[in-house]
Amino acid sequence: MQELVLIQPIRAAEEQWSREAAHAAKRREFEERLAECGPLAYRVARGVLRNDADAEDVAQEALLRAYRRFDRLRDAQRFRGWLVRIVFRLALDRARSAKRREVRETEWAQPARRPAPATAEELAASSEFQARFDRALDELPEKLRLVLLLAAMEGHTLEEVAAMLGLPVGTVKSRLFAGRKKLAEKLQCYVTSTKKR
Amino acid sequence: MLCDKYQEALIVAAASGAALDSSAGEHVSLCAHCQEMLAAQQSMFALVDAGLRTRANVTVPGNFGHRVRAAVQTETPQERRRSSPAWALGSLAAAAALLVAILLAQSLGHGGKDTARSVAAESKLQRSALPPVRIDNATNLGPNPPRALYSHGTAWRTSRLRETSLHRKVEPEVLVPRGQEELLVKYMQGIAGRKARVTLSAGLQQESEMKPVEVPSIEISELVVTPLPDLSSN
Repeated sequence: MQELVLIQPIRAAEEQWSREAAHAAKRREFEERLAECGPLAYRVARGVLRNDADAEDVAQEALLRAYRRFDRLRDAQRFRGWLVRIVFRLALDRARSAKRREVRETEWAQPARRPAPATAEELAASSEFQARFDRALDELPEKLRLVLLLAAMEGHTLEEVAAMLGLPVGTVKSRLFAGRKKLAEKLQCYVTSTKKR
Repeated sequence: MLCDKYQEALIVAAASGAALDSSAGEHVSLCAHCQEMLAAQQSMFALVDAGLRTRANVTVPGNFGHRVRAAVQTETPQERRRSSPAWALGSLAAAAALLVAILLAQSLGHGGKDTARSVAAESKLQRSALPPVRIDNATNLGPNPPRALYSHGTAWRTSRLRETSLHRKVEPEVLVPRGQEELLVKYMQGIAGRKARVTLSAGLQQESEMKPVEVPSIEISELVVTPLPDLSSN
């Protein structure tokens, strides 16, 4: 015998309408937030990963997670803070696994020898400096790295960074100073090399 | 050495761009080594800041927003519900209630097939959430008298297939083949969208041992259910 199910089509239809309407409203609101915070998510991921494709994947994953939890993240400031932290965390995880792969792949590779740059500008633009800079940044503690990246993004004041991370402005300032100082120490050899020229 | 004493002050001044305090400033103005050191630190921090800006302000790919929007579109409600603990608890409660209803039906010695039991339990569950429907001119249309407990057969014969007059505003209930509930809901959405009065034709499959029943038109609010013409010939 065919199995039948008792339903109330009108009520079910109304419930489905209201569900769909709520879903559409949520999606619209999320898209507004996406336009506002999508670039931020991408840049944080790109700042950690230095790879466009990986950064896109990670930022997208974080935004999807944000969408799934959007009911609890409707407040704009809360959304930005949560998004920044989750993107950073996901990007670090991705970077760690990529690093393990990179170590395996470069064990046999020989470093390419290039002529040394003559000026500070050339030095800053050189791939050797970039690589050293990236390595120095990656070696920084995570809490310093995130503050450095967010503060270096155009349009972010220290107050905004502090609000995003839920930290006092003084803490952001001290982390910013400590991070820049550590970077400068790690790259000190470049200053002496240009100075000698 | 005196220069070592001011080294930290030079780094702080280079990092922040602030002026040196009076004693450090006086020393630097007289010491060529510290002047060189300060300049080196300033260029170092400029290099660091330039590197950070370059790394932090990359151009976002043009299709990034579209990609995320497309990914959001493919997020189905089922996937979102699955991740919700409230939904999981609700499902658990519903499953428990269903189990209790089945056990209750068995303990009352109610015969019938498994499918009938599950549908009966389901109909009982749904009924408990609804106001009771007052039925006038109740006539027994099937070979068996209606029972107090709903089973598939009784619910089918007595409640659905008889002429009813509704004295309250009650949502109509319809029996549909399992798996086709969504189709009917979509159809009802279309009807309501047009705000038109429509007549639905209901095709009912019966058990072979059951006699066909006479099914008159049923008017439920604005919904008219009419049997298919060939139903009585089965």
